[in-house]
Amino acid sequence: MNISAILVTTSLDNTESMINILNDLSGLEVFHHDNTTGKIIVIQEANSIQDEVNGLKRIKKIPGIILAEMVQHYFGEDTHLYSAKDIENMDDQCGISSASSCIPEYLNQ
Amino acid sequence: MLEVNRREFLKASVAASAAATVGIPLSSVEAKTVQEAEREWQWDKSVCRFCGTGCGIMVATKDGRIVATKGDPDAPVNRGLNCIKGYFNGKIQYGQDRLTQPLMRMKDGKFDKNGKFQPVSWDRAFDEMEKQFKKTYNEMGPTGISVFGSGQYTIPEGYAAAKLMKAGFRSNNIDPNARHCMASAVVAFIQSFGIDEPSGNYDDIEYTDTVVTWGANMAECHPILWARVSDRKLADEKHVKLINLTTCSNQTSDIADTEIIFKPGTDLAIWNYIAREIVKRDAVNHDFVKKHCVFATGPYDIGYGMRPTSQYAFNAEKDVQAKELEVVLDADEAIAQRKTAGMKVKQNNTKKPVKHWMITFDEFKRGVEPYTLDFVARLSKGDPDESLESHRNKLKQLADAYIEQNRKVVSFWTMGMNQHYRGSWVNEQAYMVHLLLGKQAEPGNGAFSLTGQPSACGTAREVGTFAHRLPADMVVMNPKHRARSEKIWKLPANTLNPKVGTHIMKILRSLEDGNVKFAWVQVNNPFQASANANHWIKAARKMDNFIVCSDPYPTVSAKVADLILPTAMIFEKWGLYGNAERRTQGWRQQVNAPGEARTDVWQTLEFSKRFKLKEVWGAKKIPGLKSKGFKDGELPDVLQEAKAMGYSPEDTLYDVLFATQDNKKVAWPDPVAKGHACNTAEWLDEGWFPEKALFNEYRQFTLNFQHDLADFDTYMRDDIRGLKWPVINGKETQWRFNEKYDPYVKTGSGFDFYGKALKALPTGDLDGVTNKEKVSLAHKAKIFFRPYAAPPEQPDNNYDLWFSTGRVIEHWHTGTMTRRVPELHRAVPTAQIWMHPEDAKARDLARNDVVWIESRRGKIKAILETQGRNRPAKGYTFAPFFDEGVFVNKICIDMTCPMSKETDFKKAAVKVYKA
Repeated sequence: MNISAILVTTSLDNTESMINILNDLSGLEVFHHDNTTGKIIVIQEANSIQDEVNGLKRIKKIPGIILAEMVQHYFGEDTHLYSAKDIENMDDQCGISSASSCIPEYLNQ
Repeated sequence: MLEVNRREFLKASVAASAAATVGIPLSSVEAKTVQEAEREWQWDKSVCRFCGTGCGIMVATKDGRIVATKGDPDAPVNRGLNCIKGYFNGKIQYGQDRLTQPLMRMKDGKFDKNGKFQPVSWDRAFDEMEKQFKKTYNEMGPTGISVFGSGQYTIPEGYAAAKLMKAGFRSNNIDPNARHCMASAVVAFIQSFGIDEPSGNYDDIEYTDTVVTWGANMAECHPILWARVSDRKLADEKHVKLINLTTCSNQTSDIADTEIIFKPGTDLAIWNYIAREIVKRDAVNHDFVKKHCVFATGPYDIGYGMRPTSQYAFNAEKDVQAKELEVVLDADEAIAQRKTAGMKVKQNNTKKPVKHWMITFDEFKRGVEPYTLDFVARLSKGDPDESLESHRNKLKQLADAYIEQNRKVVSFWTMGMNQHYRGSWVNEQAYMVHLLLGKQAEPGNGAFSLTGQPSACGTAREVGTFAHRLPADMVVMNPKHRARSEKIWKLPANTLNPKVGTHIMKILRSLEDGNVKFAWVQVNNPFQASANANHWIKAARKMDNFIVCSDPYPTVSAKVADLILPTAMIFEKWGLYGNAERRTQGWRQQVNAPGEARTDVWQTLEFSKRFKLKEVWGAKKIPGLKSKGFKDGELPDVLQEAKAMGYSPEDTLYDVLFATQDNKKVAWPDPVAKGHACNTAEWLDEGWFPEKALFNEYRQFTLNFQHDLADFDTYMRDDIRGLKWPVINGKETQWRFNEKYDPYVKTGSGFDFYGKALKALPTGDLDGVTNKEKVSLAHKAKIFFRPYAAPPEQPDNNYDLWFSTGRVIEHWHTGTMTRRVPELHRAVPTAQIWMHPEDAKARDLARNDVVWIESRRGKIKAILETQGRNRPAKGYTFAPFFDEGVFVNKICIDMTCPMSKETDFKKAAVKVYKA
């Protein structure tokens, strides 16, 4: 599970309508906004962070958006990420005794 | 159900945390939600690993792993924001092909240059490295060895590497990849102000009325600073002006008021047009100029930084390479240089391109006189579809914006001006315009080179990991600088080598011609990042040499190496970076390095244990060395003096350079760690804290020397988010050279350009020196006249398109880190070549076709793109260089600015056809 918080800035007279537009987009949810600065915090959740990246691009394309940038990123339960590098099993993966597994094929092509 | 609730809870807490980060007020309930969710996380401040902006990030760890990152709300640079690369900082060390063990080319149990990589122990790796190093060192001396250094070194890493090379091995053959990204800026800083690094800082953005970008796609390459520019624009939309000068329409143009598309190389003429307008409209700030500036110029016949011989050139390269020796002036150059079209000009000043002399204001005016609006508009118009009238109007608007009396102006540039065959000149021209107007070194006014790498300023430049530099702006050629360095380093007199070493392109060329036979690649990927790569890859694999590559991932440089050392990454070590606005920022180690990966500091220190003083401090041959106090071609034996200083010939370089009595007093464990580990200290296991000791030792160079840094512990404080040097009495300096802000400025002077380098010059006219007697210009800046010169390689009937390379927002440099983040990799998996749709049609090509891109130096395949973020004008192409599968540097030309030796990656000629 990957959760990202995105800061969206819009002009002050656009804030309310922008909140509606953002909430209508799939996978997005507006949590906070500030009418005095035009700042909106949107949460995006996706199985693939690629979808999150695309989601950010989608926001940036909305007319009236001044700025949309990711602010916070939670990936603590991204099991794929950590299964790639299980530190406890590093010796098994890359010890001299099982050496071949730690040589990327690319190097000896 | 529980899972859903937990997800909702996490979403609410991440949202609340982010809201707090950007200054949206939270209720007490929301604040409590954040606390609850992050109960087991340990947050600590850190710095982004990528560009020179120097954004602060917060890193959360739990159970020895990084679980979250966020923009640091207290960081003055980014104020809580992250760009998309910064957002993924936490993931870069978890790529599946992370190297975790030394790998060496082996056959039948022995090292073999033609063998396959096999895992070896660290001891075995260092044994072979020592053997190969000593073979070369004993045969060729200090000139046969080299280090490819980096603008991504932490300060302690760069300091350790430079000290080992310069003080230990007595070799100046260490040069960073930063040579490729900002060396032209450095030359201009030194020549114009007598000291490196910018006068202003990022806060100029909020103070200015006008932002002019020159060859800087800030929207993609410095997005957080661009967000600040965007905010400034929107805060006062009618008054604040943004002007984007570029050779390729890009995302920075999207919110610009004016986009000026110019022909490559003609920025030199546009700056001179602005200068001419300033003079013609009598807009010169005469009071400022008279008090604080002098005028200067230098020779034009300085070549293009290519090899002076065709011996190693491919046949197709020879016509362009010949221009290193002689050029025929075209009609525009003739006007710009007050000469005759068709004139053959021998390049007589290729060996002394930096020499310069003072001229009068009248001579300066004579220099800029040819740069009329008519001439420059015709010369510089870069978009064939734009009318000359439109381009003329835009140039006039540009000059108006600079000249308007009460309008503040900031000029930003990056690689478009630095990676330029006349990069030092065009940088100096930026200062020319700002100094003429007196719009420099004050809030909202200034010319500012945006740096590319995270510590190109703080390490490569300030620590001095260049072939000519010592710490704190000192240089190896200067006997006083060597003496000061020898004193701080406790070295015998004349240990340091006064001959400038080989710059990064020359190291590559020296591998090809056999003048360098040992190279150590540290924190960079030169075999992918350097232009004309076919030559250097062949040299690495076919010549008699030994190449070591310290790397966390299998890169092109690792692949062509003989030995690969697995290396720790940013959050696996302690470090400090110095960003583009002179801000030094530190961070603690957050997690352990995987497997047997080790820090660069540990690698340098361990290797130093293998050398005794008697092996390195005896007499050494240095071909071509000529320096007062030295026998020609030789460094003296300093062992006797070393003995007198209490050293033994049996002492190792580790004992003498690193584990000194003073450094060993810097104890590990240290309370500053607050429970964080220091793997370097733990692996050395001698009870001292190398990163802290090395930083504090380096700091001695900076104190009372116009570069003052705070001590290590200050940068680690939780309430400090970096400090801009000079740091005097604990206070940072916002604007240098300005009496209101800079304690080094002479009282009552208003402005004081106090840098000491190159501050006595002969005098002359535009054509040369007329009086050799040197005149002091202490405390003054130089306003240079530099003419337009044409790029030596331009499109012709065969190679009929311009080609330029650069970055995209998703990827950093050669993609070593960002391509390991699956999300970034999938976002832009491969480099594309952008081309105008009508150029594609004329070649019977369509979007998404696979095409060949061919230059004089080689050819590569890429997918054609005619839409999207980059929109080249007809006649232009662009492809980023992050993708080793689309090996862009095989086609780029290795010409450089002759003064800075920085490569011009922006101006090659290519042809494109269907694959």
